[in-house]
Amino acid sequence: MSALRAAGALTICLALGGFLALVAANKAGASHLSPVDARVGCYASGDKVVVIASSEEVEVGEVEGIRMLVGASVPQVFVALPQPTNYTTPPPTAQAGLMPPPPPTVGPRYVDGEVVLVDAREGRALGLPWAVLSDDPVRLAQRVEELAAASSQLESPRWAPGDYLKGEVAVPSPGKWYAVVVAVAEADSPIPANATVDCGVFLDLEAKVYPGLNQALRSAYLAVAGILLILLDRVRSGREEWSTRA
Amino acid sequence: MRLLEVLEEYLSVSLGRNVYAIPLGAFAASLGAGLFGLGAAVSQVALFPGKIPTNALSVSLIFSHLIFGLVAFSLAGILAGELRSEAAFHLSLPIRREEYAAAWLAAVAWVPVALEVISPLVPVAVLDPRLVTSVVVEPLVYRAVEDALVFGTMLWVALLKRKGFVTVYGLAVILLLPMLVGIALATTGAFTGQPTPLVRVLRDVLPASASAVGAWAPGPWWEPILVAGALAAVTQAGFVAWVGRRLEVT
Repeated sequence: MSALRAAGALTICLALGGFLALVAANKAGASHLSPVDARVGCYASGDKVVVIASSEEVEVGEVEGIRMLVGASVPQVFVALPQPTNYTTPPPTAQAGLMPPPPPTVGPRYVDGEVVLVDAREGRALGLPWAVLSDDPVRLAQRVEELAAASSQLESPRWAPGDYLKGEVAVPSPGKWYAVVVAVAEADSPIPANATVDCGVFLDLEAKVYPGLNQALRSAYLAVAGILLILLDRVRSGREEWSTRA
Repeated sequence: MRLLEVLEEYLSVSLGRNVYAIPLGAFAASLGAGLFGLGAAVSQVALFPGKIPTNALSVSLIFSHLIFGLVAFSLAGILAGELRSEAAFHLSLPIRREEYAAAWLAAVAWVPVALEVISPLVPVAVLDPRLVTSVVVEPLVYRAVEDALVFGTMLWVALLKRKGFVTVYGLAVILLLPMLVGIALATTGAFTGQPTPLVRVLRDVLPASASAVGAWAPGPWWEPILVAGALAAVTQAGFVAWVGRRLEVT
């Protein structure tokens, strides 16, 4: 076992190990980098609740073979119905000296959800992120959809009452972006105007390794260098054998 | 040039197929780097252009240290076996005793130390070669000087000519050392109060293990490199000198 042959085997092992490491990192899933602050607005109309949220401006750099993602998680919407007031008879719990029960809530089920990326310049023109607290969320949602550079549907486990929404969208290119989440939930009956709607959206920046052609080629170069070293060793030992015989 | 040829010829006879442990170790170490923190490390660079965070690289380095620690004590075990049985034969060949010692230093200490640092960087270089310049050098150097010292001591244990001793010592320093350092620091209250002189000594002698358990002590960053590096040099030079002048072979 000569040093040249050992060096060749080492180079091949490093090439294979390096590429398989990237494949393993890809299979291991996305790495959570940092949470992103978001402004959230919830609006009830008829039997529907619209949840709309916008991130702060997010800036991402570029690394070859790495794809940046914005992950979105939308917990269930709570609708607290107004408590019936009866001034003549206090509720039994109040009579017993206990705290009154919380107001009855209903959990509408999500029917649709989307996370959208908007270029920072266009997002600023729309007034993001504060625009989500405006009075016309439907129009804002339509404008965001028109300007979307990338979008992805959010998924729910069963699309049943009490379920959450989850999903991610890939950032198309390095730069500054706004991530906007629009989700629609539906209740079984019309929601009273004086009901309290409580919702939230969590956004975070994630990254995933995606080995591509460039990475495969670099590994191949290294592996070929290793093979050449082994061939060189064979040529050298062949010549030594020949000169010994001669 | 002659020295390199002698080392190559001697090691090719002495190690034989066992030398494949080194490339296989490199394969495992670079693969482990991908599983333990490569994605997070390079993504942090995409998010905050600058340096790859130290903690992300440390995890890959610990894995690499475990792999090459096993390689080093396995090869040191071969030396122990050889000293017990056939060293006289090898030393009767045209090889000086210092060259014999240098060959084993290369196989047990220098090559594993170099590869345990290089292997986790290979996936980074394959991903994007520009990232290699973003790597924080400090943990790599700490790991290299500490293992140059630790692997050097394995050669001294091999001089006892008992494979069992080398195995027990190797497993202890590779697997238990960081835990023992942690316990030593915890018993002195190093994690709760002000850094004690013991913390500083441990940080200087075993910088990578001390930083792996979260010990911090005031002092310049190059101090551990100087102290552990000097100890490693003395250990290795002492090994060469001992083999050259005092070693008795049967």
